[in-house]
Amino acid sequence: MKVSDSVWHGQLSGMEQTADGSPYWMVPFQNYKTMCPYLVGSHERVGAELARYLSSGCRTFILDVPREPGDLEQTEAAFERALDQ
Amino acid sequence: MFDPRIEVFSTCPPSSGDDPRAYAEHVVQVARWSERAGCKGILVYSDNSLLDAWLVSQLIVEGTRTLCPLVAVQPVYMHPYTVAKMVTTYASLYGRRIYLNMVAGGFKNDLEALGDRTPHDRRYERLVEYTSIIRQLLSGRKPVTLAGEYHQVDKLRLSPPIPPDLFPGLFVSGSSEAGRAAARSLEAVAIEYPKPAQDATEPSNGAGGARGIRVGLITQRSEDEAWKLARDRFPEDRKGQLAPSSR
Repeated sequence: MKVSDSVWHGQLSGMEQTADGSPYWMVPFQNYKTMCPYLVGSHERVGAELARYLSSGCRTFILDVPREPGDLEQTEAAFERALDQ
Repeated sequence: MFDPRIEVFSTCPPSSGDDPRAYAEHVVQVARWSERAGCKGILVYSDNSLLDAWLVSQLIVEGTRTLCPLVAVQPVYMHPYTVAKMVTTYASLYGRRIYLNMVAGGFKNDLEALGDRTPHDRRYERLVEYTSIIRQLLSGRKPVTLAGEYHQVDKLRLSPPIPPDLFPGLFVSGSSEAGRAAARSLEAVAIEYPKPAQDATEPSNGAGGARGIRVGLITQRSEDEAWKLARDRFPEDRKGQLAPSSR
């Protein structure tokens, strides 16, 4: 098994799934080696979460591998909601 | 197209998940989707099991018009001079800007297999020294001389010089204090793996500087559609976990 001693890997590995209603989803990281957590939900819900990252100063977003071109269009819609807030 | 107030990067598919014969085609396909959507660039990450990130980046540059490869750079893989040479070669051959994702860590087994047992925080010290050499070479103002702890160069000059508008974007990945300090020291964008946003409303430790996150998104018009798609792609049962197409 591949093991990392990085702080982020340890932090994410020890993180439990958040409460119902949260878009924050750890299953891809825990089971599929995606190397990053996921946000899942409607454009409004994911946009609201992205807005919090924007307000904390994040301006650069590195997404995971898109499975189809529509993924990026849907993502754009969520960012539009985030930037409108 | 993504709003110009933010910079969005996608990620290149890893070579381990594809039929080798189909992989190059898949890379170019994802790169073109990303460019069409308005992404600034695409992350090409690396570990010991994957194809070389610089050569995969060449497929991306040749298959697109503006998309910038964000190449993962780990000091154990190559000398800083070679990184600078790669960047200026891309600039010269393609007129394309490269972004560098400077990585101090990685899989422990990968690093040990390369004889690298440098402790965590010292790997960030090494990353700062390494990246400083790359920056000085690319700035081209004068030959670079450094008797560092990890690298020594003597009146080293990079040729051809890089046009100023193609100077690489610089990211440092790391969520530890050592990682954030390295990013600040290098005036790089600090890339973290996000915690739930309610825990991330303040810059970490009050640290300033440009920040970014690496995160996957599955979003649709409705909650139900999004969660159905998410669970179809990443089933939580054991059968799904073992599926070869999981990446």
